[in-house]
Amino acid sequence: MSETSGNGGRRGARVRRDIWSLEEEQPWHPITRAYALGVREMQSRADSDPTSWTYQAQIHGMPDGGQPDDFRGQCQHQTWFFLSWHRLYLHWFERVVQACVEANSSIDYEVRAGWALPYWNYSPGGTRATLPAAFRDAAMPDGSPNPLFVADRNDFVNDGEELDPRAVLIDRALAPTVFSRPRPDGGFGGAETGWNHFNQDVRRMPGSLEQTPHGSVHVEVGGLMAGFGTAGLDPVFWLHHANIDRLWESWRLELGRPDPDVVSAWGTTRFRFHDEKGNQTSGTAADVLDTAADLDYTYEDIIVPAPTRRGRRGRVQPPSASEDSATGRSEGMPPGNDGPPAELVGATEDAVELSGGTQDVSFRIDRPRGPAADQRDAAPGRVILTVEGIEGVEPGRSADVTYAVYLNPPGDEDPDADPEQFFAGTLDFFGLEEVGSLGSDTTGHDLRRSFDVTDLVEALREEGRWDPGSVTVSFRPLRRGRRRAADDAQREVTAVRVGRVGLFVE
Amino acid sequence: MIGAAAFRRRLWRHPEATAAGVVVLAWMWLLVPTAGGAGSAHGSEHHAMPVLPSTAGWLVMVAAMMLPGALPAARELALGGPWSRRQRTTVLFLCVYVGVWAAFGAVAHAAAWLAERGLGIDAAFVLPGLLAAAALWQLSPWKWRAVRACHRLRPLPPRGVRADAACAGAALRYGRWCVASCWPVMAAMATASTNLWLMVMLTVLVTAEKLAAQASRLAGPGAAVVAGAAVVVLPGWMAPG
Repeated sequence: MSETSGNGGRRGARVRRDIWSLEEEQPWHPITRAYALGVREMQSRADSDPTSWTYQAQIHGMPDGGQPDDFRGQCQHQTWFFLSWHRLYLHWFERVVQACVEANSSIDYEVRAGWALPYWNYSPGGTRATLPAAFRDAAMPDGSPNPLFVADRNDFVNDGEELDPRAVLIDRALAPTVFSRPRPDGGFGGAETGWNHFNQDVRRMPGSLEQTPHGSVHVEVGGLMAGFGTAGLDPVFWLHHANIDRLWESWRLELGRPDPDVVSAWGTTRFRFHDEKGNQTSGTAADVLDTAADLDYTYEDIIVPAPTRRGRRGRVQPPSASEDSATGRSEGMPPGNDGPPAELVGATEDAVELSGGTQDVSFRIDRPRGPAADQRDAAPGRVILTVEGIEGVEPGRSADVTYAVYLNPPGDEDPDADPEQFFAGTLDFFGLEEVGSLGSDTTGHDLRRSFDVTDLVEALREEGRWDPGSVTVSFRPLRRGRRRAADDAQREVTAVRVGRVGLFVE
Repeated sequence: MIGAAAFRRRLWRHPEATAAGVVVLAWMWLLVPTAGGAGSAHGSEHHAMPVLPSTAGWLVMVAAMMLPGALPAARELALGGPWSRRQRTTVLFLCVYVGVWAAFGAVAHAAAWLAERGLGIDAAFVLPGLLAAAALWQLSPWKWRAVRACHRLRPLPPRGVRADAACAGAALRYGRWCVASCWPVMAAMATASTNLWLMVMLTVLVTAEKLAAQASRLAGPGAAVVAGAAVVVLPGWMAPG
């Protein structure tokens, strides 16, 4: 960082705590209350003030496709900068809130001295996958308006119902062993690109963590959270991204996976922000890898939970003995960016429209003709399901439905089969409203998503459920509270056009 | 040094490598006859194409100037397709794209001829005038809409005639937006095809515009550079090279 963190390394780093741990200790825990008062203070500042609530949200994205400047409209998505840029963003936001908290004498001294941004760990499901009451109540305990409450969310979220378990699944997010891979999948952290706010670089591809739970939680919370230019206006945005940042720490430290080289463009590309006094500052990924020493925070818990039933076929693997822990390279297998490129073996011929209901598509698969053909008999290569060319049927509308994706799901003739054993991943359309507009540099082109289905295809093969000549992909809307989106015939949903569903092998 | 296997892997990842070689050859073709300072700062020499007939010369210039910015798009489409179609996709996309510029070249040359012979406009002022128009175009929002549209590629069907047709269609759309973005610059080059320094400068500019993430930030600097070139090529500003 160009500026040293205030007390980093000199005393114990601040601890970012789980919002549900706090709220279970005490509703409206002092840390939650301090956050609310900090947000209220920021909301009272002029929009042009870099430490104001509006300005901080605009750093992520400009509303209505406004033209970005050096500081605003800068968030990085579908790129390997996704995690490091958001870590920097959260850090400087947290410093602004800390300054507000420290200046507020109505907050206990201990809270003022040690306040850190909480995170929302929704992945255990159940109550943890609901929004805490402090974010749903219209008023604070003293009766004043609650700055953490946002009416513009999906009703079921503000009603205290849980998010669909498939929207918060982390098994597949943590499964990749390589940080960055080129198309057709982005590895853990996204494909190597240049500056890529959303879709400027032709090489763009989100990593597994950026897709689910990141994108799916954005869309499932809905409202402000569902849009690039408005997400930061919902106070839960920051807790959501703290959780994504925490999961990066889990992947790095608990699973021992390596980040890209810090002397690469990933480590040295500099991004600009403002500090808590409104002064310009900047930082790189290489500056923020040790959160305690560099940024003065750690997480309450980064332990990776056991895989879920749904996640068994996208499970997290411990580093193998044959894997170089420093580079993530396996013996005999070149790493993501240098190995044989994946090749398309089958895809839909026509665009597919998703309008809120279940949609099945089938397409022919051919034998691989490139390097994958040579390796096929030696060791099964990776199999990647891609969903590309995603755009809204009506440009400018945010996504409001997330889909679970299944491969060769069982039909009515096989009632005993567990559908979840055919689960390939969760398909979100976060950022959809940015697609199609040509009015500014921040907007433009299609969304891309990918799913590593290697384990699933292998399991289907072993069970005799895999046809090497064709595949069926089923898109099923996630549950919305106590009802399914597909059953809600009255609800108008944003129709999405998918340019191509394809299968790549490596 | 890289081994043969590593080199082969690199080629796997860069199906556009052959096209990049064509760009290098085009530049060599353009550079060799002008070695020793034959390039001129003045741009009214379109009647004097020393090496190639004008059509071939225009195509070589298009390959040198416009292909570098199109290579990532060709690579993107090729890598997104079946293995057996990668070279086919690259060649088809780039040939149709060059074809779009060939059509533009025919129109631009005809317009230049008409301006000079039909309307009697002094040829010495055509190039500065077109560069001035290009500088103004740099500042237009339509220019940058075209640049952004230029980036847009849709995935292709996997096989057969439909894949070929979609690839050709993608190249036509790409070329159309590229012409919309760069027409004044290339119209200027149609009248200054032996002006090497201008060619190099404008190649750098249009390639940077194609590849930059926040391309419209180049609007001001690009306009200043092109306006400066317009002044430099005014008759009497600089002695012929």
